[in-house]
Parts: sequence; structure tokens; C-alpha cells
Amino acid sequence: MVLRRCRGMLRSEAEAVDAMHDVFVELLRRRDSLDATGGSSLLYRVATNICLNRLRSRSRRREEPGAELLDRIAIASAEERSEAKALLDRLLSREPVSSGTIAVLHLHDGLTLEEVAREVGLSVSGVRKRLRRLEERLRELEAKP
Amino acid sequence: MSTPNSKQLLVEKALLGELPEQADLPADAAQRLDELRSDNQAILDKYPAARVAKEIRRRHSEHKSPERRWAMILLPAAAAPLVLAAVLWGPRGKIDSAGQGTGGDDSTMVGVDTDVQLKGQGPDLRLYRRRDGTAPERLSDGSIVHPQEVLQLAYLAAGRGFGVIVSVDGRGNVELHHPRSPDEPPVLTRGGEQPLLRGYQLDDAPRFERFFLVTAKNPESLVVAQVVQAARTLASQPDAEKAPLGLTGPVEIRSVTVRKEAP
Repeated sequence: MVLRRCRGMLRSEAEAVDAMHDVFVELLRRRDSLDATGGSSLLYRVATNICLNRLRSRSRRREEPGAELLDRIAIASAEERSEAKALLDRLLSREPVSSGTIAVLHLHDGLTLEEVAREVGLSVSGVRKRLRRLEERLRELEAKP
Repeated sequence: MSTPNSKQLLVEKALLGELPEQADLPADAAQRLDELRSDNQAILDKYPAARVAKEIRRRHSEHKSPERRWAMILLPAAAAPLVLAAVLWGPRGKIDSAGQGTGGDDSTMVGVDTDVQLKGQGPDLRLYRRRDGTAPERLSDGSIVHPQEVLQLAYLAAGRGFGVIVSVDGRGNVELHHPRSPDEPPVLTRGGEQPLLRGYQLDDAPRFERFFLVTAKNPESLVVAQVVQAARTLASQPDAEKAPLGLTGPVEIRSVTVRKEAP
């Protein structure tokens, strides 16, 4: 499941395998603060975050067809300073999930707002608000010369 | 909204037995579950669980104690002092102290692999080529590399508390290696060589990959976004392979350039 998620986002087998290892390393590092329930959701979100971090740091990925949306999400979510401090820390301590992950689930994976809300433990209006902020950041970024 | 991915997580959960019986699965759930089972088996065949677990433990251990891995790599060399000296004490490059107007002719400097710093030794950027089953190979300025190879970056802080590692390639791309994002503080770990947590796989960008370590003693002297911007400016120039990184202020810059060849 984790490898499939990484493959889908990174579109590179080598990088996906590398990211998969990192997902479990992060889980090991934070094992004392993990909640054992909802294991697959947690894995999915950690994998999404790690892949977003990688996409964010690789401008070259923008050249790959079909990956543009994920790149834009990755870059826009990096602009959200309050989240960039410790995305995984917050994720794993059950604090609100990153807007980047929410955007990937909705815009890339195609989950409905209700499904996303259920998945990340927010209200539908909370998810909508996060997406709106991310879209605003995207527009600001694209308006920059 | 419906995409091929839209029910993927739901089906994954069903496969793991995490869904209630009355869950609203897609019409093709049975087929997708079969596909996932087949894919799981293919993954396990290709990446055996024991091997993956071993790699995860290795990385976890490396994260807890980054210097341990490099100490182990260097142990065999330590048994042959002459070889050690020849390998570890390489050509010493110049320091581009941008604040002192030295012109920015940055080059690589090779130091010693020990927690004890020699008097006058400065920060250092080191590149290693990782290959399965063999010890990493230390690369020097001008080494030949190939697409898909995985490089391990490491630095020696040498008393500097803050540092940024970026790279530019022959296609004009810029990559930030440390910190992980421009919003993170560029803190360096002291106490000997510090490998970055993850390797860096080369793509097919032509001609070269050039890596920079920009260090400073004080946090106010080093803004990650400015370093990235300087790298972008450099990357857009035709002489990016050799031109200095245009930074001002009390920072020191090291660079290592490796040459790209087709496989």
C-alpha cells in the first residue's frame, strides 16, 4: 500500500522505494506517539507527506507529464509557514493534517470533501477552508513574475 | 468527482480488513482487491520483507547516530594509515568568504574524517557514490557520475552552526538538500562528518551536477531562500558549471562539481 502510494505520486520506482523506506523510518522514530487505530490512514498520510516533501524539493519533476498538479500542491503547501515547521510532527501527534495532504486527497486522488474530512478528522467546512487557502496561495504564486 | 484513484484508499482499507461489512465499496471492488493482492505479492517478491526491514532499521539507526555509518565505512581504511592519509587528505580548496571579497572562486576542500578538527580546518562538503553491496565511494571535484546513480551528501560543520546545501545541474535545475525546505532553520550538526538522511538520485540532466555548502556562524547571516535564489540565478547562466555563487555577507562557500556522462 505504501509503495503503491509512493509510486503513484513520485512516478519513479527507485524514488518510490526510497520514499517507502523513509515512511517506515518516520513511523519508527515516532512510534511512542502513534495511535494504533486507523493504521492504513496513517500510513497513507505519512506517505503522502513524504512524497510531497520530495516533489517540493525537485523542481525537475515539473517536467513530467501528469505530475504538474502534485508539484503545484507541493510548492503551495511549502508556502504555508505554520505547517512547514514540522508536518510530520503534527501529523503523527494527531494535530490537523497538512493542507498539502488534504489537497492531494481531494484534487489528485479524487476523494469527495466528505471523504477527505472523514479521512483527516476535520469538518467538511474545515477541509473546504484549507483548500481555499491553498488555492489562494497557488494563485499568488502563479501571479508572481 | 471521480478519478481512477478515488476509491483506492477505500479498497486498500478493505484489503486490510479495516472496513465495516456494510461499507460502500465500488462495484469493481472484487476485481480491484484481486489486483491489489497480486500487486502485493509482486512487491514482496521484488522487495522481500526481510530486506526492506533491514534497510529500514539501517536508516533508523543512521538517523539516530548519523556518524556511525561513516565510522564503519572508514574503519577498514584506518587499518592502513598511509592509504588513509592519501585518501582523506586531498587537495585543499579555497574558501570563498563572500564578506571578504575574495572573488568567489569556490572549490572543494577535503578534510579529515574525524571528530577532531585540525587547526584551521573549515567546513567541508563531501560526496559519496552509493552502490548496493559495496562501501560508498568518495567523489572529488571532477569525478565522473552517471544518471540514476545515487549520491550520498555529507558535511563537516567545523564549528559553523548554520549551513545550506544546494545543487544546480546542467539543465538549470536547482535542488535544496539541506535543510529540507526553505522554511526550516538551516542548523548544522557538529561533531564530525554528518551524512544527510537520504541519498540523492541523479537524473539525466546533462554535463554536470554542482553542489554547494554555504555556511555561517550566525543565523542572521544565512537565509535559505537567498541561497536558493542565488543558485537559481547561477543555474540560469551559461557558465553555471564554474561561475561563483553570487552571495554577499559573512558566509563561506564550498562547491564540488561532478561531471555527467551517459551510462
